[in-house]
Amino acid sequence: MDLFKLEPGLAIWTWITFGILFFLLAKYVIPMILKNLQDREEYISSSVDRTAQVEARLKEIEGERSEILKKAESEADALLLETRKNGEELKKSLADQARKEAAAILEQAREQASRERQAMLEQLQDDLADFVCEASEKVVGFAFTGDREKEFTRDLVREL
Amino acid sequence: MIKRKIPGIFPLLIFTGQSLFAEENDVSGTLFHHVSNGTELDLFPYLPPITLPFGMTVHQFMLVLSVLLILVLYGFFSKKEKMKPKKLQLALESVILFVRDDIVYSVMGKEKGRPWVPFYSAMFLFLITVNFLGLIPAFKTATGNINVTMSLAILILILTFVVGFKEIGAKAFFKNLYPSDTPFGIGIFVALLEFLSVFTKSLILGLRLFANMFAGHMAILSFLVLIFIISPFFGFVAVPFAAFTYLLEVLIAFLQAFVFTLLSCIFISMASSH
Repeated sequence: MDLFKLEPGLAIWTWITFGILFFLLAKYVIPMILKNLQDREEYISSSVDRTAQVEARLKEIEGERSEILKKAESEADALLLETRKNGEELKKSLADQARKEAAAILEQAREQASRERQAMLEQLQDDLADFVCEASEKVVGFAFTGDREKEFTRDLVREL
Repeated sequence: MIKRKIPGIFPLLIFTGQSLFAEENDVSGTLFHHVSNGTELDLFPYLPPITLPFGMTVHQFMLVLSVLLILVLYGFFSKKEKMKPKKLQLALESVILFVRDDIVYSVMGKEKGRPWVPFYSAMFLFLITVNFLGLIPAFKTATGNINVTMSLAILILILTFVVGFKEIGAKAFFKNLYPSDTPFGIGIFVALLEFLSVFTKSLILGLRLFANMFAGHMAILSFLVLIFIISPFFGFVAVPFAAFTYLLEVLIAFLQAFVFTLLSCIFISMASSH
């Protein structure tokens, strides 16, 4: 075999086959592949952009959420504090009121008791004066029926 | 994966070796027969060879087969492009991307290189497919024929001149060959050498590809022939060596396609720059 045997037919055949391959690839295949690759790149790039946007929005929402939460928390704290303060005040005022009412009731009861005691004492004095008058009537033999006598007897019992 | 595939190479190599000697006992004749061009294809050992139609030679057939294979693969998958590509589609696209980004754009730049992407993609795919088809037992490597590689090298040479003349003009093209700030005598001598180097650089592309592909196959066949010359037991040495050379050939097949495409890209790019 001649290693360097000239075969013009094969050389031309090489050009023709390569030419056909180049023509078909250049006209139909490679532009389509490159276009698809570019489309895919754009799609991926836009997806990445969208993801970044969504991520940014998510962060924004997260920030807003945490801000709202913080605000709500501080509002709740303030509300709780105010409620507690109001409660304390209410409790204190109620206790004061109750204490005042209790004191008034006690005072009233005391006054009533004193009044009743006084009335009872007066009644007792009157009864005792009547009794003394009746007893004197039986001893002396005449009745002490006049008002002056009765008044005198009452004053006497009071002095005793 | 590789571990599983390597043992499959051995019977194929032995098979090839057996058919090698079945024909004749002339060693060099047998070796050259298996890399030479002819009109018959020995696809199956012990069966009569298949005569190719239309008086087509085996290397012509391999060229046509390569082109068909590329067109079928790319034609089929470029039509079925999807936003979520499958593995094979990704592999096919990555070849184009490899040529575009790592060869054309890296040498010529994005703007200047864009129109050249189809040409170098076609060149790389053509060479790598022809090289790899030759690695299939019973098939032949068309790039192991100097007529194929030199015709491609001549194509690059013609393109070097055409692109150079078109981009910078014939005067500037030849002026580029003459070194500046050099005495006239030496300058003319260097310019002549530079002019010759335009031819030699391009033609060596073809010679390099041919030599690598031819030598690789000859090395594999030589190892296998030794089994029949020395002893059948020599197969225990020859087959692993042949398998190793075969694996080396896989690397060389890719590397040579890459080197040819890259260098042709560099030469054409150099010719069109001031």
